Amino acid sequence: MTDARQAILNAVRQALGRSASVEPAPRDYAAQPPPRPSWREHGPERFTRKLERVAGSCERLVELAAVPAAVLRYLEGLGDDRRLLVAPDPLLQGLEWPAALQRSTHPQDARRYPAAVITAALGIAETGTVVLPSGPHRPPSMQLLPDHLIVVLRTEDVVDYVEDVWQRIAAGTLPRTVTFMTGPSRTADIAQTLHVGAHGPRRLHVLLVG
Amino acid sequence: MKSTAHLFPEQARAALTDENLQAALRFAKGGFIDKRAAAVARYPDFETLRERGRRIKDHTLAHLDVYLERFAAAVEARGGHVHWAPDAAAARSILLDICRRAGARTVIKGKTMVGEEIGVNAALEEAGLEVVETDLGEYIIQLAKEPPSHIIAPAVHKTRAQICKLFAEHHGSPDTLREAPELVAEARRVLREKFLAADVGITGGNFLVAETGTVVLVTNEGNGDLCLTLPRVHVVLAGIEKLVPTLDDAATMVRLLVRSATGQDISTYTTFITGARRQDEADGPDEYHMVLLDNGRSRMLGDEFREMLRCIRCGSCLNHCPVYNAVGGHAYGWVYPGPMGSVLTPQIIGLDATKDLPNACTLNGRCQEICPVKIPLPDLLRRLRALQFERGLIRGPQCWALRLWGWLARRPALYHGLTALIARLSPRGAARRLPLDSGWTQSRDFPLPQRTTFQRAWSRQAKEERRHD
Repeated sequence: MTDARQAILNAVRQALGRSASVEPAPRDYAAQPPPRPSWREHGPERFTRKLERVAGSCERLVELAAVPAAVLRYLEGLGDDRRLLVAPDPLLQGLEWPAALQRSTHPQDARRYPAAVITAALGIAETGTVVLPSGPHRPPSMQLLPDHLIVVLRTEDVVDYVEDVWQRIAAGTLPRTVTFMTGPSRTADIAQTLHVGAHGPRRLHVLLVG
Repeated sequence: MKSTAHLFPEQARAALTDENLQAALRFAKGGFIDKRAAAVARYPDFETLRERGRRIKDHTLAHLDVYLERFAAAVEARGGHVHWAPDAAAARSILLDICRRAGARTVIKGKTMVGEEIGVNAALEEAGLEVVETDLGEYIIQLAKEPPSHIIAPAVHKTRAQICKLFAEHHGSPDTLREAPELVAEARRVLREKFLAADVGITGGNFLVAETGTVVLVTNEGNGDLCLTLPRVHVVLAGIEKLVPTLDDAATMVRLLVRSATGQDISTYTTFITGARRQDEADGPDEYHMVLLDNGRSRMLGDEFREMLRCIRCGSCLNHCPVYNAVGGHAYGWVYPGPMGSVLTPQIIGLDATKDLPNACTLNGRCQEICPVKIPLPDLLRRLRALQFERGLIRGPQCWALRLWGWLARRPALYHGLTALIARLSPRGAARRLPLDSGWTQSRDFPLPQRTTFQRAWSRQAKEERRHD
């Protein structure tokens, strides 16, 4: 393995015409800001508009305490199943949940339960994206397996651009995965027409709080 | 994957009369182009974005050794294993070894073109493992036992009727023409079981970020995320050219990639994977491996094809290529079709076995105009044609004709005189058939010269204009 590593690095250096590694020149292009889209509306408004454009849905709530009732309403709209995964996140666990809901916090239940509620660390207005870092409060299987994913996002956590995410989640503290999720799972692999619900959640519903 | 690129002419001819293929191509044609055009129109600074993308890749390639070292060190510092594969055989044996050590029986895969390049499925199946593709397009062609025909839409050559038939055959579902949503739901159901049972998940990586050791994976279905969440072992396969220096650079590259590939502003899932599962995480794999593949890339870095290493595999040059749109991807005979493939394939499997690919091009230049990282594809294809001539791969009448033309073109006076004579003597109109090149006139007429040469017509017009002034 070490030999292969050395062989590849040597081949690369030879191709670049040097025998030892040299400190890279500064990234000259980085002196200019990257060209990015711009907009006039407020971040949360743009976030909602962009998310809805890719078949996601969004509901504004005034306070966190309104989350459980909104989740129950969403489930009632689907049918009689009241099973709900609630991510083991203190923010969600601290809420008062209606007795009608059959709740679980266990990732193993993600393969059986129809719906999950999790929190987003951040939202991105540029693209209508929720940012989901993995960790004890947010097991990735909960955000991938259930048919319905409900994501709680606070308006003060909506940043403008993708790059802003890395100002809030510093390089040294990156968890195993950070997933940018933008709308429900989709595919165009059958006759190039777009259909939702490929492998991930069939619906993505964001509760935008504040 | 075994190459049949040397059979391009026969395969292209067969493709032109394949009714299913032509129906699928007609159906897809324009869709990709329109979606990209709309996304670019919404982005006022797209040209500046392309230029930045080009500069990011050029900068990274010029310091690739250092960025590779930094990336590998960062992955290892976060508990990942980094494997270096000089060629396809080495990559296959690394993967086999990982699977054996893990005692794996089933492997699930996200779409990876590098995986196709090294022939991972065949190698793992030969060792007795069950391999299941989970990207819907890849799954369809796995059932059909075919290679992908497009680098981002692997089953673009399949009609809905053909997919219905495949599903009926393999899932025991009704053998009728069914609607796409029903087919998507069926594949979701079947593949969900595979996800839950798999031991190893293999995915590609769209970008590798040197500063943090992060792999960026861009998908829409969510299958890639399931591959890297549910099995005990996750392996990423990527070429060494996928590096970018920073997370901010990756943001620029993703903006370019998704607009060029599918006309989206961002893909449904853009996942940043940094190292192995942390101690406090409730799910995720126990082992994390990164396989870095060279397979001809370091050689390209040092020769006149370095610019090809900027390629981010968006597939846009395929979508805009008249040749690709006429014959589809399979005619090209290997993993990478279309303009990017015609440059890349000879680099990886040799020019001798791919001599028709650089000629499967009209030099119309659309691929270069839309390439998100400004790869001069027509120039590279022209260079390959010149290389073929220099290496003596062009033989027979074609070789003599080129030699004769070359000899004449270097003698302008003789050239002008002779062409003027031919122009004067030749009949007018168009020839149905050329005496020495009947292939050219098989599907079109050859326009015959108009009485005079361009240069004479030009100087006559210039004289006329002077008189009028």
